[in-house]
Amino acid sequence: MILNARFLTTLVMFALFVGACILALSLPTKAAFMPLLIGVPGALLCGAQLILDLRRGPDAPKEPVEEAGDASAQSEAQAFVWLALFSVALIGFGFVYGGPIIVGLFVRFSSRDSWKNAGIAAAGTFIVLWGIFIWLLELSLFEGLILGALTG
Amino acid sequence: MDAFGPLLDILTTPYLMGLILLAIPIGMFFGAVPGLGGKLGIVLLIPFVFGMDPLAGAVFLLAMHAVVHTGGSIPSILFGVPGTGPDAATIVDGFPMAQRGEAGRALGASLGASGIGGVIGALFLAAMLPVLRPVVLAFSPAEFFLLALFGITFIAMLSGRSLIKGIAVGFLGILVSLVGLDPHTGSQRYTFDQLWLWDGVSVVVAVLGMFAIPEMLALGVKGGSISKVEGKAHRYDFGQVMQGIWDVIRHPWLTFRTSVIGAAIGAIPGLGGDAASWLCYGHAVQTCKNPENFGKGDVRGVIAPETANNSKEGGSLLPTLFFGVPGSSGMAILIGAFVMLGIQPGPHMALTGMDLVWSLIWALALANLLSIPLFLGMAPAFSLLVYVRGALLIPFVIVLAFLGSFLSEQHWQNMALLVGIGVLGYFLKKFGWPRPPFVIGLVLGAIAEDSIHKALAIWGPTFFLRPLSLVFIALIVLTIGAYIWKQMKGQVADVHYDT
Repeated sequence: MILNARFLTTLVMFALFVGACILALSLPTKAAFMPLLIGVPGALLCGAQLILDLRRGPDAPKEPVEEAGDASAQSEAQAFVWLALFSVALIGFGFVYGGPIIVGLFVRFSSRDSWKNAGIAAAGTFIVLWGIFIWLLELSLFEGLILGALTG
Repeated sequence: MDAFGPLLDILTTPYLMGLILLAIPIGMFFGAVPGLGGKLGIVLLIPFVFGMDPLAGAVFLLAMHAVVHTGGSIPSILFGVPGTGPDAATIVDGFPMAQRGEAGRALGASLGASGIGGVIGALFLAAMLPVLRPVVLAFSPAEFFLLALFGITFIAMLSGRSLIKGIAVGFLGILVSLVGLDPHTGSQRYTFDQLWLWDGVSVVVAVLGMFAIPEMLALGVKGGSISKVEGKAHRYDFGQVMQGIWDVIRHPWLTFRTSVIGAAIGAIPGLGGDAASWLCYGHAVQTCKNPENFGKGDVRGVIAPETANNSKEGGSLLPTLFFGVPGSSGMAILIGAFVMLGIQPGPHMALTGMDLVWSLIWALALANLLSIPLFLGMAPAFSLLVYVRGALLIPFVIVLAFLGSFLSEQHWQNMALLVGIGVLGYFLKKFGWPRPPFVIGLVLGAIAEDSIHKALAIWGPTFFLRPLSLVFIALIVLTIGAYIWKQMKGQVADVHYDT
C-alpha cells in the first residue's frame, strides 16, 4: 500500500466525487440529475486513477513542483504553516492591521531579511491597502473577526 | 459605424485610455519577470477592478494580458531565460543575436513584431465576427451541453500527460459550479446550511485558490529568485532597437503570415501560446530563404514567434467570448474576472454584447500599438526585473489573493474557502493534475446544466441524435481516440499550458 501524497491527492479527488454523489441522493430528482451525471463518471475516473497510482508504485516521475536547496527555500510544511499564519492574521485581524503585520513578519523571518526591509514591506502593504482600497477606491475592507469582536 | 463607435468611445474617454496606458507597463512587468506571466497578472489585478464599470474593468484586464508576451521577450533575448512559456521560441535566435552584440536589434524586432502581430490578431478577430455570429446562433441547448463536455475533454487532453486527470478536474469544476440553490427546484445543493453558499462558489475565489495560492506555495518551496538568471544583461542602444523595428517592416509577408497563423491557433481552445510560437518559428524555417541561418541569430527567428505570441490573443478571444470556452489558460482566468465584472461570456454576446466585443477588439489593438513607444522607454528598467526575489513577492500576492476573495462577495468565509481550494490546487499542481479544466468546468457548469435540462425538455433523451450534436460527439470521441493513439505511440509530451 503506497499511502503517499500522490495517492492521497487522488483519494481526496475520489472522495469529493463519491461524497457529492451520496449527498445528491437526498436531493429532488431534478436537482440531483446534474450532480449524478457528473459525479458518477468523475468518481469512476478517479477510481481508475487510484488503480493507476497503486500500480505505478513508489517510482513516480519527477514532481513538477521544484524544490531548490538555497537559503530562502522552505519545506512544504513551512509553506503551509505560513499560509495558515496569513489566514489567521487576515481573518482574525483584518486587512489593514493583519496584512502589514504578517507581511513584515514573513519578510523578516521567512525571507530572513533585515528588520528595516520588513518594516518597509509592512509600510508598503499598509499604504496599498489603506491608500488604494480604502482612500482611493472607497471600499470597505474586512476588519477581522477578533479585532471586530474586540472593538465591538 | 457599429464597429468604429466603440473605438471612438475609447479614444475620446480619457478614463479608458488612461486605464490602457496603465495596463501596458503592468502587463509588461508580469511578462518580464520570469515565472509570473499573464495568468497571475489577471489574478492579482482582480481586487483592483472590483466595483469598476464592466467595460472599463474588462478593457484594463485585456490590455494588460495582451502585452504580457511583449515584456516576456526582454529576458528571453537579454538573458536567454523565457519570461513566459511561449517566449521560449524567441531565445533560439534572440539570445544568439544578443551574444554577438545585437541585443537592441533583437529587442526592436521583437517589439515591432509583437505590436504588429497583436494588431493583426485583433483584426483577425474582427474579420471572423460575421462568420461566427450565424454559427453561434445555430447552436441549440443540446449543442451547448456537448460543447461544454468537448471543451473540457479537449483542454484536458492538451493540458497535461493524463486525460483521466484532466477530465476529472474539469468535472470537479462543474460540481463546484453546482453548489448553491438549484435553479429548477430551489432546493439547497451542497450548501451545508451556509447562507453565504446559497449563491454558489465565487468564480473569483475558485480561480484565486486554484492558481494564485498554489503558485505562491510552490515559489516558497522552490525559494530564491523566480528564475535562475546568471550574469549581466547584454548592452544595447536606441539605434539598434530602431533597426530591429525596421527589420519587421522589411519582412512584411513573414510578419503577416505568422500573425494570421498565430491568431488561427489561438482560436483553437487549448492549443495555447507554446504551439503558436513554435509552429510559427517552424513555418519561418521552412519557408524563408537561407534556413541554415536560423538558430544562429537570425532576426526572422525573432519576428515569427513574437508575432504569433501576440496575435494569438485575438484568436483566443473568439471561443472565449462567444462559447465561454477559453482559448488559453490565461483566457480561462480572464473569463472568471469577466464574470466577476458582470460580463457572462456565451452565445448571447453575438446578440446583445457586440458593443462590448468591439470595445475589447479595439482595446487589444490599441494596447499592442501603444506598447511600442512605452516599451522603448521602459525596456532597460524591465531588464532588471529578472533579478526580483520570489520570496519578496509571496506575501504581497497572498494578501492580494485574500483581498480579491473577500471583495468578490464581501463574505469572510470566502477567505477560508480560498485556503481550502489553494491547498487542493497545490497538490493538483504537484502531482500533474491540470488546473485549467477546473476553471472551464466552473464557468461552463451552469450553462451545461441549464442546456441539458432544456434539451431534455425539448427533444427528450434522443437530443444527442441531432446532426450538430453528433458532430460534437464525434469530436469528443476523436479527441479521446487521438489521446489514446498518442499514448500508445508515446507522443504525449509535457506542455506549458498549466505552468
